[in-house]
Amino acid sequence: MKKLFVLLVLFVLLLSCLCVQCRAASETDAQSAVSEASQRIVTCYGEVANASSAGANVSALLQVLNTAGDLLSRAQLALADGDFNSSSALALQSQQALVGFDAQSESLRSAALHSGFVDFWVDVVGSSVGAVAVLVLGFFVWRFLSKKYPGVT
Amino acid sequence: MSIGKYGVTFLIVVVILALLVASPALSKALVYPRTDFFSEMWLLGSNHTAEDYPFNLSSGQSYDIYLGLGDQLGYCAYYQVEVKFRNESQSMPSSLGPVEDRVPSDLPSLYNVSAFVADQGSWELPVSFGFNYVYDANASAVRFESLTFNGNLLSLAGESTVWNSTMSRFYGDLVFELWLYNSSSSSFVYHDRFVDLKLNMTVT
Repeated sequence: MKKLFVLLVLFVLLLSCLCVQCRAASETDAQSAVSEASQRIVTCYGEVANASSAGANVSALLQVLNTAGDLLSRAQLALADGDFNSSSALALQSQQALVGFDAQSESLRSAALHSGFVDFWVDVVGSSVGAVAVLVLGFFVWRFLSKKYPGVT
Repeated sequence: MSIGKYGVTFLIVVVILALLVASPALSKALVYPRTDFFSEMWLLGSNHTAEDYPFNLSSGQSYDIYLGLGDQLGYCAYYQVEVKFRNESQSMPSSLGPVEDRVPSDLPSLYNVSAFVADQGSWELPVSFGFNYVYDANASAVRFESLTFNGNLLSLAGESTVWNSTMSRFYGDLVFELWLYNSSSSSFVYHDRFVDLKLNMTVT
């Protein structure tokens, strides 16, 4: 009977240790998930900022980031409230919302850079050269006319 | 026949033509540079106008407002709005005066709202909020339990506000502080702006 009692106490102790470990692991997991989601958002924000400064229209990407940011805020709140399961799940959803984000922002950035390059050649170089050509052409036309119709002073 | 008398006219026509051809380049070169870089922050009432703000609140009721941000910083911005609640005696943020005097409230943030806004773009969030509180007649105070913010339950345990006989109300102040992500320091910094909603907690 005494042995049984000791075994029972040991079992309860072991069980409580396991529960504490499970809880601790869950809290660590939640903190880690929130931290990763937060870092991921910062990385994606950097990519959007680059694409935007290259001249890309990033409104669709910003919507995705805002959704991910909202999920992260809820994950942080759940973490603060001690609801680690919800926190982990929301942080994971936040990261999932950003799947494929890198490729999309890089594609927009490349397209914007290409478009900016073309615009530069057409708008700046093309029109500048065109203006100079008009002036030069005007000069030669004037010379031609003055030779054809002498008496020009 | 002499065309000398047409010289000036010809020159003007050629120059105008050259300016027309050069206009795409000139439009890029002659743009007046932006000199003011700032962020905008606003609160609108339930009708989406700057009126009809909630003031006399009842416990358990829900109220609607709109929180907005505008980005004129010259780049795509990552904002964070910290939601805080204070009574009369608690620290208030500041947005005026010398830069060193512009500080956030030292109260903890109850909830952080993230907002990514494109340069020269704006962002708006419909906010639905409500307070749960009880009236402590003995202390002539309102004891807060929680704030519901867009479906999120935020604890206000331990917070209270006493009767203000001058203003004849139980004063509460819902504060929205604007923080901006700084890529250099990899952290959010107070962006010298806040909006708030001064409230009266009615009791029966």
